[in-house]
Amino acid sequence: MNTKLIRTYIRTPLLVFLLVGAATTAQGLMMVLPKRETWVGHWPATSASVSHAVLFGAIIASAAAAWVIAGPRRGRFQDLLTGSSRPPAAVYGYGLIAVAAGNLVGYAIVAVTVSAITAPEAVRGHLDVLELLPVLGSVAAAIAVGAVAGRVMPPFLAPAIGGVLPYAGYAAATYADVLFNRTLFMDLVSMDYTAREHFLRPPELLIAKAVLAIALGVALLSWMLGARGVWFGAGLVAGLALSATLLVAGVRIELPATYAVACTSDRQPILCVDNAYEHVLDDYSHHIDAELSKLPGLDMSGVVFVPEENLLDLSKRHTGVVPDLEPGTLMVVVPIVDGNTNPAHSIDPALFTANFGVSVLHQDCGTELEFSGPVAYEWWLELNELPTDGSNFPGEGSVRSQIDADPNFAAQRQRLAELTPTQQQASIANHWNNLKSCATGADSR
Amino acid sequence: MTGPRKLKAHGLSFSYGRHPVLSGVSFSLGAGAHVVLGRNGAGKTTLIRLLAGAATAAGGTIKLGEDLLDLRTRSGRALLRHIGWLPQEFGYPPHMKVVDFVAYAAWLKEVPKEQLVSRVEAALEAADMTEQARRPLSALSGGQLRRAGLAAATVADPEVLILDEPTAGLDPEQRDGFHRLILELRKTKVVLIATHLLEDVEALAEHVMVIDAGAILWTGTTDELASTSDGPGGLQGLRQGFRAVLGAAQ
Repeated sequence: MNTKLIRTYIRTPLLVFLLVGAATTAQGLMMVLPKRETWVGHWPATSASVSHAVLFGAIIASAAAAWVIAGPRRGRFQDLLTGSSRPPAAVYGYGLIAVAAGNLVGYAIVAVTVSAITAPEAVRGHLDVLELLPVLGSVAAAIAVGAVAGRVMPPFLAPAIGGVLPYAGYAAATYADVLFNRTLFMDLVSMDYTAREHFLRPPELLIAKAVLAIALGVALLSWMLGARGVWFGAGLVAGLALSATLLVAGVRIELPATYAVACTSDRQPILCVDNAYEHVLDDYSHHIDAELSKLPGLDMSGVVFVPEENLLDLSKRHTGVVPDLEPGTLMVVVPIVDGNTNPAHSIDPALFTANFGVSVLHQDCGTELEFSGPVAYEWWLELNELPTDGSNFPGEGSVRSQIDADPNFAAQRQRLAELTPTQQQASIANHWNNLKSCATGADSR
Repeated sequence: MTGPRKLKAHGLSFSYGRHPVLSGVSFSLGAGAHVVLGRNGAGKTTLIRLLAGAATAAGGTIKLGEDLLDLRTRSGRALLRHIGWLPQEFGYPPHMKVVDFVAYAAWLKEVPKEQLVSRVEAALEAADMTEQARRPLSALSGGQLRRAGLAAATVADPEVLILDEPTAGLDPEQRDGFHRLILELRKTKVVLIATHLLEDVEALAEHVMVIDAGAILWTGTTDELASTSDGPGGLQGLRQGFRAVLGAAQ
């Protein structure tokens, strides 16, 4: 009978642990991995990305806690528990600990996964444990909110209500910040979507909001379980932590060194990125070379490819240092962006190819050239089997429609199409060389 | 072998909002079977819940021997270890087996780990539930379910056993079986039974407390209750005695 009896105690909490752990892990990975281009290779962004798993992770924890606490009322056996000689914290504790452990393990798996993805790409840094503190805090707060819902709400509705409450809190914070047009209330919640490339959240903020969430959770749980002394103490700590959080809410610490520009020195064309994107430099170089290999004959001497238009200006402003580039250097901006044209930490090949075509070929010059920008760009898209209907990235515009609508462009397209592939490449190379000559005076440094 | 400590209530009061349910209830009960007899709504279940630690009295004290039952303190709550309770509304975790249920009750009553198996086995045997130990609670008949509840209530070998309407809903055969179990238990424990069934009083009680409108109206033996009226003895006498006590109070 021994084994059976031991199973009695652990079966339900173990099941709760496994279910909460699996659900937290699955949703966490689904929330974080599809946006890997926003953090991969960059430790501060990677560290902060774990908090994105909290949005639905908190819902899972809260709903599960509500389900656990409402269980005895749901099964109408609460009298069995209230007659226990063990304190309520012990009676309900195992279920809540199982929820907390499942939630924490889920977040840990998310943290380990993103770290494992970032580590081979990153050139410096490590996982910032401070960024994980608010995630830790969210577990206590979500479980406490769910437990209270499980205690006071109708037992069959409690899990649903418990699940809604964390999201309602998040939505309320978002709405309040929009209403007051400032970042204040969003810094009370555990999720943090602030970009980390050139900014740091103050450690005081991360610690204070973690302490706030934990103290709030402990206060709610101890109030619910009748531990008055703990309730008072935790409430006091929560009040102090709230003050501290509000004091530093909205603060972002700028990191000037992250604007420092690093350039390749041993190749033509030159490539430059800033410190925050240095881990992309090799990949950037690889992709630039791959695109250039499709365009033999392009004169790339004195050309610098950069992913950000203000790269050099920002470096000069924040660090006082700019790369030593020769006069007359032509800067070509080929951005590294995600599908929404936000700066990214990894290169989407198709998007990059399209952006390369825009930056190199879809340009105008004061004087009439053999081909206009749209015609050269359409040729480039077709060469790479990319759509010409403007669907490569937001704001691209349909180059096909543009050419169809202009007889001059249409005639250029026809002329280009009548050439052999080798002749086309030679013509496009000539087009680039003309553009370069044209631009070197106006858009060079 | 020493007997159980006395269960003492002094000046117990309780109210739901402004509606008083119990007022000034006092008694002291030693080993044996004691019945709280009263009509529906008299305050029996509330009294039982206070004694079982499921509710906190607005006033008054409950003691086991000289130890105070106080749910706000660890030591006061630990006294519940010695009080077994079979509630009137007997819910149970769905899909739980009888043996798991009794073991869970043992855990709730802090039965030492090394005694757990023997206590569970003993409680199941005493309640004549050994053969049903592996069956899920949901598959039991009403009488078996009551016996499983009794096993859970006695698994910690409590000094006090509180039973709220223990035979409600049982057929005569099941009721007789349950009576036999309680008659055995009353030899070594303070057994307090709340009921409105005079059959239970006749079969089980050595001592009766008649409660009405939240106050104890009368207390004495079953024979004394029967003799408060001029009627016959037995069940009929108890019925007439009970009516006489309630009538005298009005």
